[in-house]
Amino acid sequence: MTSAFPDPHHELGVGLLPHTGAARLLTAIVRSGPGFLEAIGKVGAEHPLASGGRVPSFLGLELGAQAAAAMEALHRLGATGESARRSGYLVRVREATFTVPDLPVDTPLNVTARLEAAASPLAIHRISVSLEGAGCLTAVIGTFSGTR
Amino acid sequence: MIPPLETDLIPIPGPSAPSSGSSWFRVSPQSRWFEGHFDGEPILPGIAHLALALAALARQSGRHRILTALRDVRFSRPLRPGDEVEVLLSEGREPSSVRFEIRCQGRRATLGLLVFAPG
Repeated sequence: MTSAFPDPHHELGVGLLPHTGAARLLTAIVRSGPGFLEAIGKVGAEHPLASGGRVPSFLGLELGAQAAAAMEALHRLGATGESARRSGYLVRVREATFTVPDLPVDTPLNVTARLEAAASPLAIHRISVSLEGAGCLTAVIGTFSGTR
Repeated sequence: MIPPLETDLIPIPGPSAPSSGSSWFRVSPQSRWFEGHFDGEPILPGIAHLALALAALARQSGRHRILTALRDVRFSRPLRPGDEVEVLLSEGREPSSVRFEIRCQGRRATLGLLVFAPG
């Protein structure tokens, strides 16, 4: 973490996400720095994809996208003081690999997002989701921040 | 695992001459997908587009397959409450893969490749 970033050991970055209710999957930020964020996420049993206490592992892409959005929100806050929520969109999954077919609901998942390239409002992030240290998915995603 | 999607993404009849490999759905305005995504500007999350493609595949093939990878998925148009969409599926170039395209109002919304476990 650098001084350009506010203390990430709280839910500020998560609170900056435009997602609310069941759509907000990130619950806390573990650590962040320029171009990197690690967070905890959890999928509730009420999620539309939940069945039998599990959700398909591709839902982890949303966790990663929210981690990327939280990182961008923290960056804006640190750089400009902007704390307004800004809509973000997943616009591309360049590649994704799922090492497990599904994920448990109501279980903390570790999520990372690492910025690979950016040309505002577009950004490319490498994301991962793991459960108790075991990798569940990795992906390279593209996000768009702003109004489409 | 086949998610309980049909209360959110409702299968509907296609036009009079549906193309082969095509399925139609209506995105329910009451879908839980829109709760909190986003307040005042409801759009279907990108992962719901993937769920739509997988639901179409399950309906056409009658079986559930294990998704192991995605390649070059592009979300080019948001889907909103009440949208009617066509999901087009075709065999992919990779083994055990399916190319999908989701169209809405004649325009492409999403395109990509689903890769499945063999078998």
